[in-house]
Amino acid sequence: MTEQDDDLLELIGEFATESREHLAQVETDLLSLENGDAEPDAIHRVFRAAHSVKGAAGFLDLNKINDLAHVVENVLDLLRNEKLETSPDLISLLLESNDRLREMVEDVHNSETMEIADLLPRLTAFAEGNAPEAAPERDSTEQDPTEQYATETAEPGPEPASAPQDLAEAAAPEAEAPQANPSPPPPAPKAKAPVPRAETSKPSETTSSESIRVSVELLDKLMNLGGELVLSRNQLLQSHGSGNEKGVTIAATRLNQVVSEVQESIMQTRMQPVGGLFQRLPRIVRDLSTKLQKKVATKVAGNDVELDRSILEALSDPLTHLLRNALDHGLETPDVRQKAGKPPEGTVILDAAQTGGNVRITITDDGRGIDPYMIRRKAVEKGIIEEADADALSDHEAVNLIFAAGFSTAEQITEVSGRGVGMDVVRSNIEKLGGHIDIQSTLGKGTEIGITIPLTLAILPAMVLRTAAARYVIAQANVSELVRLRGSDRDERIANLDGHDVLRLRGEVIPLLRLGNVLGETDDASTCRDAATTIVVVETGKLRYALTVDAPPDAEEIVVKPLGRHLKHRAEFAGATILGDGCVAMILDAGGVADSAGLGGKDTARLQEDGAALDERDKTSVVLFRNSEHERFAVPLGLVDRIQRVDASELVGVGTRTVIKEDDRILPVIRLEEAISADPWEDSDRASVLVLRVHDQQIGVLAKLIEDIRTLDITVDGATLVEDGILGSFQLDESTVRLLDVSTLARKTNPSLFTSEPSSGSSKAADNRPKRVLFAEDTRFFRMHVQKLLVEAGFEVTAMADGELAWQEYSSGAGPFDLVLSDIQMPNCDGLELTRRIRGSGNTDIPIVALSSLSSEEDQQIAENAGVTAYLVKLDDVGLIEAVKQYTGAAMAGGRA
Amino acid sequence: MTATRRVKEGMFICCKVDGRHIGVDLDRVQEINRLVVPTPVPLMPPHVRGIVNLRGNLVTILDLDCILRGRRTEVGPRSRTVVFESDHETCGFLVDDVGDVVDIEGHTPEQLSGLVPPEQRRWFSGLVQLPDRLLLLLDVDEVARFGTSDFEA
Repeated sequence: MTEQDDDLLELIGEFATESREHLAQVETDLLSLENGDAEPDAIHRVFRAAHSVKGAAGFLDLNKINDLAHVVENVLDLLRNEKLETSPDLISLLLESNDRLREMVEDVHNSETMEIADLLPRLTAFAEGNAPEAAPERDSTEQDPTEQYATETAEPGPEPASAPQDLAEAAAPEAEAPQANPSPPPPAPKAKAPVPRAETSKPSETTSSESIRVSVELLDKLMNLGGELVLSRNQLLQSHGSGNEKGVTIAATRLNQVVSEVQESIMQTRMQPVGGLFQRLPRIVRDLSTKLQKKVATKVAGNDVELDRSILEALSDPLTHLLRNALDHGLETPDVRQKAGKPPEGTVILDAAQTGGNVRITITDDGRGIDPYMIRRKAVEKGIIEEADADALSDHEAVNLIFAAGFSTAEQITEVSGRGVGMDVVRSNIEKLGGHIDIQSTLGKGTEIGITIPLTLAILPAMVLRTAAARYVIAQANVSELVRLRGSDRDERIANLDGHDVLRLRGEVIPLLRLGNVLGETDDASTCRDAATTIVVVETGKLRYALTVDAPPDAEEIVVKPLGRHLKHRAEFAGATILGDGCVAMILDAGGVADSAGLGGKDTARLQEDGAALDERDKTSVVLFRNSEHERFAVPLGLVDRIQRVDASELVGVGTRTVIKEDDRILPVIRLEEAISADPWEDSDRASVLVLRVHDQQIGVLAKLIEDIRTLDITVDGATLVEDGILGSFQLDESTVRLLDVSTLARKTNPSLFTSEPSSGSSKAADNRPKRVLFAEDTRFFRMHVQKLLVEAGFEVTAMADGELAWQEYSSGAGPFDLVLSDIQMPNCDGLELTRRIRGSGNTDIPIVALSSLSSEEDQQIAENAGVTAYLVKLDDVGLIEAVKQYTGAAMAGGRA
Repeated sequence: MTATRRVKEGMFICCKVDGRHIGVDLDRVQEINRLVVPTPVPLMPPHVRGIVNLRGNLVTILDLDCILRGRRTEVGPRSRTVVFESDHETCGFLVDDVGDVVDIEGHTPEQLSGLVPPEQRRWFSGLVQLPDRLLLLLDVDEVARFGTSDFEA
């Protein structure tokens, strides 16, 4: 290739870049001219653009482009000089010509072979002022657009207006729209031919341009920074060479600053305004609304918001799709709208706004909205979701089902949208960009679809994970939380189901993988020696799983580098990056890791079902409340008789205590700050009193705000935050909740009410040996708590971790025991089964006391039928001690009698 | 394929791989690095030794002798990575040592068939007899294709 050719190619490339921009502007201006909201110099701008394209094309011997641009320029010249007036069909023709020009510019080297003969005569006809009147008017309202298109293209004709696809377009409005009005909205009944060019030229519009424009200012800045880099390097080398440590530090600091600026500036060169993307959309609205016979106004805001160009390119298709959906499914036809009391013209609003490191783009329509019931029905019909699950979804969740694979709600599949491969593809495309899509819809009012995407793909907030052998990186977007388990918690929170480890997290059961194992590292079990295990909970959009790693992860912003072709075949990796210390680390693909570990299949579903069953047994219902912003408390629901709303005036101070007067009695009320270390009660007019039953006495606890009643898998930390009146604490929704020890609280604040103190000697048998209690409880916390309580009260306690072990202990003759105390819900052998076995072995005398968090009469009845002597609610400590004393005493008395 | 296998004339870099001398076309070599230990990538076949960071570009390092003869190259003090571009992608070969640059013009081309076992012949474009050694001329692209989707087994 000669140098001359090179030069020419370069020129043609520049021509294409420049023309692309001109023509994009032309489209915007033409549309605004049609709508009547054009800036005064819009027509001049359009003219100049056409002129520039023509001139450059002529210079480069691009004759077809030159010819077409020339004729367009002629028409625009007439418009500019007001010798011709705008009309929808003229605008349509100009838009069509503009499309053709863009197409030719996109494929400059083949532009000479493209056809423009269909456009030239029509443009010339306009220019000569004798165009469309000649065409016969026809009422095309009833006609199917495509059919009409077919018939019309079949109609050959020599006169200018018969140029095929725009015959109707050129004809119909002439009679309807007054020429004098420069901005008639496209008349609705004008079911004109589709503009096929918009379809075919779309791919080329999205073609990524190989060159972009960067402002000279930015380039200058980069040049300066480049100079700064060299200076900093010299400084560093010099200081290093002369052993000047202080100099090295200074140089390093400077280098740090310069490099940050370089990076930022280079990022800026990639940033382009969203306007470039939005620019195309009004055109799509125009074409579609005409085709669908709907009236639509488009509003665009946030054109200046900038995004990385690769993201902009990737957003083009999803946005177009969403817009089409809004027009086709969202907006109603004018008559339907009027019947619904809405203006006949629908509105579609496109908005972009920057929030932190993200850009949020919303597409809002004021159409019919999405019917959540319809969506549920469809989803069930299509087998996307079970009926029971569908009913359990909130309306918002139901509406978001449209993003599920294989979902298309269009009653009829239309040409415009509704092929059933839509929204799930949109979602996956957005998610590929590290973004997120959500939908809000109000039936009858409209729909808002929001896309949140990161500003750039190039820099990714990530977590650096460590295994025994290496470091790996995972996108922070995929990490939902970090869990750190200390040795003792580990056994409680990590269970093994069918050989798979699972993590129990706030009632959820999550498959647990060891990252090193997934990546083929040999298991050296190094973490077992650690004091704590670090677990990263990963969210892929499809499923959640947990990864055990070897050290707490670090957060780092990384630059994603693509993998070479030798490394691409493993789905576990999404790329690689260079860490802060210069080392290379692989970036994990959260989905790929899950797939390679065999998650997400049936196994996992079953695992989670099993897990749910496994979980049932430890669930405890608690009432959550708070007295100040930061302090949360919980009380076992089984101890709560009722929750009463009171006026502040009803709280009466009696001495140092607080009471509420009820009809004929007085209810003592505990203010927590008086009994334990707690924030003082924040005065307010209204409050709630939790009325608790403690050993058949009622006592109230003052609560400012009752938050919720939750059934939780409580793993109580009985070590920290413990004091008299607090059993322990647990984590819920990222804050700490303290579990009240109601018995102690009650005794501490109202000693007179609970006169029967433990350790009164009745725990000793006649022969003065301590009474022996066999205690079965699987939850470690409760086991320790009750055991301690009983031992303090003078009993000898044999505590077992489940019913099976307790039964072995009982039947081994380790006894004799004076009483059996058992949790109801336990693995292997539950409390009921244990009772049946003991009773079945012929011992009908020994008192068996059941402890449960289930307090319904039905539960009690079942327990009594099994042979339980007494049924107590967990954590009523006073009641428990009393009962144990009573039954051991009674048993002895009975034995003596 | 066969067309590229004619003996190319010009400058070759001599690499030592398990005692054999293998020539890499000088025009193809971008740089030669001393002992840059690649970061291993798990779950990869043995000939992929890992990735190195070359001034911000990540380069895949392939074990040359592992591809040629299935022998793992041990990294020692004389180990080198020979960095080249193939199919628009930068890769590196891990070799035992890199020696001199020779101009093969005027040296006697030999038949591959006599000295190289048939299963190894695909990796070489020729063989020349230098005064003191035999130089196998490497078909860089064919070797770099090994283990990728473009590789025809």
